[in-house]
Amino acid sequence: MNPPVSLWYIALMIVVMMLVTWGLRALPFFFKDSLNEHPFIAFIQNRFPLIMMLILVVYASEVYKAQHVSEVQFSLIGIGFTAVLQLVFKNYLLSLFGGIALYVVLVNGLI
Amino acid sequence: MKPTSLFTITLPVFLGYIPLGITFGFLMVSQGIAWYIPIIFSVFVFAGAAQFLAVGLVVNHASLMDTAIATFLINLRHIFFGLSLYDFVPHTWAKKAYFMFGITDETYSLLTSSKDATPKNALSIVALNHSYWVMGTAMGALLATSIPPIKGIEFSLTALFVILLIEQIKSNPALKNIGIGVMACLAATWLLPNYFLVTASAIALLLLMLDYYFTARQNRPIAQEAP
Repeated sequence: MNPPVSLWYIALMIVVMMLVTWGLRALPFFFKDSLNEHPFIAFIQNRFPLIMMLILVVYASEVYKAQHVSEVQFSLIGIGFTAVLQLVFKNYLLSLFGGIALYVVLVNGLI
Repeated sequence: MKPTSLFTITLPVFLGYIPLGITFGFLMVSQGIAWYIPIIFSVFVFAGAAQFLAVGLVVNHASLMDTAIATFLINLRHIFFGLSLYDFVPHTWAKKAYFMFGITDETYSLLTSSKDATPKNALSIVALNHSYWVMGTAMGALLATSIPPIKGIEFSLTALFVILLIEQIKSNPALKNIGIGVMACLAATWLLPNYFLVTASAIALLLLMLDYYFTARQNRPIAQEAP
């Protein structure tokens, strides 16, 4: 068992994490007036979200950590199944629950 | 807008945050930390990946400098998020500060992907998403000792991002964007897999800047040649 952690230590940790996170999120807004006029910002606004979603899918599924495709086969099947459900039925709830259900069934060896 | 409509808009995040928040709350309390600590984290930090990292930091008594660096690295991608959200910023300072506080991956995804997200309801979307995250954390923290975790439930976050990616592709189906994303992921996996998120985001931005530069050069009117 780890030694108990002091509340002051956790409180300071929370403050540090809050300030760093908020600072990073707020930074672009402080330069809004100078950045907003630039056509590059419109370019980023249109194109970065899709790219970021792709990166987040790879990050959240931990596909990038795999040495071999067999390590992430269930993740890849789950991703493909969720994508197909969303493309065909256009229903968030169905896609989300369908994808999670298939993944849970696969990783627990239920089929 | 009616609350029910707002709930419908934020439903994908609700479905992602509740199980993920439960996992976070459960994980932190199962490390011997008091039940209310993860809830305070979720109220004041509101950063999924960084909070999961915080479990390890607390348990290992990491220094505050280590905490600051780790949080900076893992959340560095959030610098780019604000660039796409200028139109959504509220006008008063308190609302502005809270809006900026709430720009998580999922809120950013929702605001930039959903046609129903508008500058009028953006702050409510942020607040609702935040409340889901806190609720999920509280549920996980309080039920930590009585409910065994379901193996595979962590896929909820991946599924959420897949759905939002599909919506992005449908609204802006440019193969070049997908290509840049794939290249950034491959390069980050090869170069710095331990800092995948930060590296991939930075490489993607760099590639976009190069693309912007060359596109601007191509579109520049050709100067008239001297007679």
